[in-house]
Amino acid sequence: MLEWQNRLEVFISSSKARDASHLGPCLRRCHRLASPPEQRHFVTAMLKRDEPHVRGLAFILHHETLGSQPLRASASIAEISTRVAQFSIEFRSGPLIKGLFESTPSHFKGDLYCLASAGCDSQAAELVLEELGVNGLHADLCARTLLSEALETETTIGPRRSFNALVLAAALASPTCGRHRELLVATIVQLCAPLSDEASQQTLLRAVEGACSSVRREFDRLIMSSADRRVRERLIPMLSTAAFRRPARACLESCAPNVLESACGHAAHRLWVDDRMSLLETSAIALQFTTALRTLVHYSEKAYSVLSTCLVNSTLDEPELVAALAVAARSDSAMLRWKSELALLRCAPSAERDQALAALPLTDSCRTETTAPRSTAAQALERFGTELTERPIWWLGARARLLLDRHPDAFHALLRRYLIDRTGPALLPLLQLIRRLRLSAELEPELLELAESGNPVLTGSHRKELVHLLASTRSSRGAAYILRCTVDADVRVQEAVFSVLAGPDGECLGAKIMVPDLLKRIACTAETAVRKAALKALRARSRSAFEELMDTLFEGEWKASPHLLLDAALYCERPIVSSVLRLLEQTEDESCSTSGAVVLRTLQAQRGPWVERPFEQVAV
Amino acid sequence: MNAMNLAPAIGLSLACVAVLASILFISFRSHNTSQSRYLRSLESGFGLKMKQRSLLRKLALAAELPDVAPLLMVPSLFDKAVDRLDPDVDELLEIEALRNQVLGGPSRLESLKADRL
Repeated sequence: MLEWQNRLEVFISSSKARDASHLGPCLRRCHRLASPPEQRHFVTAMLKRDEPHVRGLAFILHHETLGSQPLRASASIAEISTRVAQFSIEFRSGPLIKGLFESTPSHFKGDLYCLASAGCDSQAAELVLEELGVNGLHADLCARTLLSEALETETTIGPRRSFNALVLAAALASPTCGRHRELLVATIVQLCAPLSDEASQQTLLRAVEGACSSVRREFDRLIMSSADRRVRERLIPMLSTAAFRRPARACLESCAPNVLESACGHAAHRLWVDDRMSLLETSAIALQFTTALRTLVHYSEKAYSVLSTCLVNSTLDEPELVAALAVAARSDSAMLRWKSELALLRCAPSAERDQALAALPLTDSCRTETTAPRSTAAQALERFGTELTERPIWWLGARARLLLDRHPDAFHALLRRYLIDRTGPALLPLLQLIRRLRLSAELEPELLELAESGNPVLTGSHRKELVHLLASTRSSRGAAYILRCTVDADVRVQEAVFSVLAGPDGECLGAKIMVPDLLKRIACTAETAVRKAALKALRARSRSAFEELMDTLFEGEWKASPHLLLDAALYCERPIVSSVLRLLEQTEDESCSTSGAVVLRTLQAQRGPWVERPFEQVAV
Repeated sequence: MNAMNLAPAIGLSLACVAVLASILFISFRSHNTSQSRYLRSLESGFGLKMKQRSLLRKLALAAELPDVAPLLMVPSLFDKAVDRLDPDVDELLEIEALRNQVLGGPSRLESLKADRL
């Protein structure tokens, strides 16, 4: 780069000494004849010059290389984000852009305002704020660029994101900013992002709260109408921002299907952050939902899930609630039917509740047979048994919880009977179901009997499930079975053993059956999946033994076992990235390079901006 | 109309054409002169000796470039010009020295040597 600058210095000083008119064409010709990487160096060197005409020429040459038209004032967000990405960070400096306004033709103003809005210094911000303040021709373009920046930096923390927030805060001070809808949307995007820089967010919050009444009204109108998808999607996070809470809650309360679909599709899981759910539960959403149920309004499954929770926890009277649940339990949505039935079962016993429950079919399969006589409990349990191999595990889990609530003893007896009798294909889903329902303690004798029977039907998958089930019972017979499984021929079973040791259930098992030395040896010799599980278990059970192993690997023995170092790197808390890079440079093993790249990406993800932040902040 | 009556008009037109042609010629010459002055000052800016200047022109000729300015700025053009010139060993050393002086950085010859070592 220095060489390019030196050469350019000679070109420019020669033109000063002789005829300045030759410099432009000469530089143009050099740029045209250079290769693309050389063109980049050339333009960067030109941008570092003080002469405005050289900088202007650099901008024009770069623009010509892109082969695109200058940005119009009415450019879309997609065009803007493409254009911003085409200009390197050097082009976004405020002093440079200020100079370029004077040294380039006026049709490049759109590009220059776009670069200024994506810039990170006060001079660039000044240009943007001035244009927004006077509501100039490019004010909308600036607002769209700020929105594009807010969306692009939504999942990062850094100066670009903070600067965007600060520019938005400064823009909100102007009463004219209400005219630019994108500016308001950008503010909402910034404030509802899961990760944020505290200082800049506080400034933006204060700016929203201190904005003039016309701007506040525009915010309310924008949120209440929710015509913009980006606003609709952020209605749930907006419940945590005092300035947006009222309109966001009112908008959710209206129970419009498209609004709830967008809001729940994007952030239903974030309802449990910051007590947002209780805000909704105390609103009129339950009443609106009850009306919607009667008029057969259709919602998405996620929306149904949220709405049914709101209904169950609402302030409605018991009879009203039972009536609403009875309607909901006859809905077309499997999710709503299941949740309503469960809620009805948990309601206080009353004549209305029993009547509502009696009117319900016992299983999904007889849901359509409205004319058929109602099944008895025994028939329902029997049918459930036959569906074990046909239905997905989540369905079995949901159905089993209902049956368990209604007929706990009969359901336990059914599971016991199946564990003793069954040896067919239903055994594996049965074991998975017991694990899902956390019933291993109640069924331990049958599980142990099955595990110790040496039944040839038990495959690796069955034994793996048994290891997980018996680990949670924490009995010595179970521990003994798990110990025997460490030498199982199936690697899935071995992996399950070490996974159990790494988890909370391994606390009592670890001391009994596995000494760190043995774990260390297994970690160094076993098959990949088992090795990873053993390394994790070693770190969980004995941090000192794990560190000892890492010391040995660091001292140079990794050359003999690069895969071991790569696996151990995933669980290591030391700064290990440079060692992994060194290993990847030196190795010629292709599989090692592939897994090394994965390890590096994982390490990068582990050390992202979300590290050491509370869970609520990183829920996206 | 008599041809004699047209003579002054034709003479005037010819005179105008001659004046215009001379103006064009003079401006073209002055442009060329100023351009060559600029190129000369560029060469002296890089501190090139007479022999190096002629070598550079030879390279520009081989690369079919109208002047030496792109060779002084763009390393890849310089290397392409050397390829097209196909110089002998003595000339190659001079070209290497010229390249180092003008463009700086590791030359292709040096990188070739490094590869062989």
